[in-house]
Amino acid sequence: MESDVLIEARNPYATTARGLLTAAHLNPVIQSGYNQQVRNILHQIQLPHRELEASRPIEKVAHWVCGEMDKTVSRHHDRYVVFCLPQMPGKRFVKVCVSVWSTRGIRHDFDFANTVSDAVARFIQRKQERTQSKPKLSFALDAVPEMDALTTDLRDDISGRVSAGKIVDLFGVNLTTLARAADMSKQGLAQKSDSVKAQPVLRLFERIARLRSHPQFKEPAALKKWFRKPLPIFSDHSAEELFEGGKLDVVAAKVDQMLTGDFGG
Amino acid sequence: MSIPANDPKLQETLRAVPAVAFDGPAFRAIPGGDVVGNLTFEHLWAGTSAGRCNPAGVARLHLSAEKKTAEAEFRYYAQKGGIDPDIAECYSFAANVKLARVLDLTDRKTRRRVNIALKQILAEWEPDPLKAPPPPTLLQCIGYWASRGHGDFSAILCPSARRTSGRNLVIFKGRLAASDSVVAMSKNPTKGFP
Repeated sequence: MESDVLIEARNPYATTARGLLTAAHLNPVIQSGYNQQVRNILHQIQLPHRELEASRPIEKVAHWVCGEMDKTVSRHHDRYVVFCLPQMPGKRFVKVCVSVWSTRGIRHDFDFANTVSDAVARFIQRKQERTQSKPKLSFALDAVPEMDALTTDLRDDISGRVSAGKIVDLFGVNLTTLARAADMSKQGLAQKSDSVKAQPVLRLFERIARLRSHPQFKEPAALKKWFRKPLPIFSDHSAEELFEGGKLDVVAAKVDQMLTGDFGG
Repeated sequence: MSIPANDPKLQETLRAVPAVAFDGPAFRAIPGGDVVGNLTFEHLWAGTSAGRCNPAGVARLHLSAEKKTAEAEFRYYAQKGGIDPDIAECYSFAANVKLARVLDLTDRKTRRRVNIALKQILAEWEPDPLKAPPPPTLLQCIGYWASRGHGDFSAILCPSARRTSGRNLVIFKGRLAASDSVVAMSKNPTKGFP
């Protein structure tokens, strides 16, 4: 999810990072199986004493840093990484940055920070940029009469809101992942399946479920299979991977476009 | 995909490019299913997703200038989205379109004027959703600034990447002039092509 940040740092920096990320309403993630899905990485570059010596030429330090960066990026393909060098004096840090940027060129998949708080600020900025640059999605089918009738079975009988439990059953998604996407705890969503807070995410699933209107997806098994299948329309990712990557809105928009023939040329 | 950066040079170029008129039918193919019965041509105007000729957020109607092109677009994208086009029913909308000022990118001279190659027009434009959004393509920038009134165009006529000699028409909702018209031949989609 877009708010998750995997911490790859040693104490005391790891503890500081956890506290600061939480304060910034971001979700610190420590090493676990879940980290495969995390798209933001805070990686502390641990410099050996030799590289910290004031007499060490900047180019050599930069070369060493580049080596560490390459190793990290190879483990986290297509992720956004903030490399934090908290042990380095400010002046040397800036010089190393100049050297690295000049060899690697400006890229959008990594940044540098000299302190943990700077690193966290980068993630806040990144999240903000992604939110603001995201054009408001419009779904042509939302305005079509009788659309709600296609997904009545996904709504709570009493409140009329979309039910997380029914979405889990239909798509076979994990309740924990669904709760994270809704910025809720698993327990919270399990207790209140039609939670108001979860409706934005659940409504996206509801729009994807409109695919059942097509004869090839009438059977629940066919929709589940489609959700897990890597497809060229998603650059060979599956809809499930996009969901886990915080891009469920892209899936919902594509379904809307497919059903209305709005292919974009 | 993001909004293009201000580009006075491209805006100036668009203002200098001659427009052509478009007067004829245009088509949209859609897959069959329960949606078809309630979908009307008017609903199609709600499209604002990114396309070959526009970044996301631009209100536009995407049609094809030939039935065969609409069908080729349908078959290609259905397959790309996991729908088997060989067993999928195909419905379609047809409309009579009359536009006074269209940017005709099927014309080589016009392409040269706006400095875009046919290869650039036909190139893959859909970005990987899990990667950082790339800047808009040149064609999307052209569409964006045209949709903002530079050159006073109401649409772009563009070569189709799915059919040799096929053409797609991207009509900007906010740019239709009083003399322009887009009139559906039927309110609801019809099975096959009318």
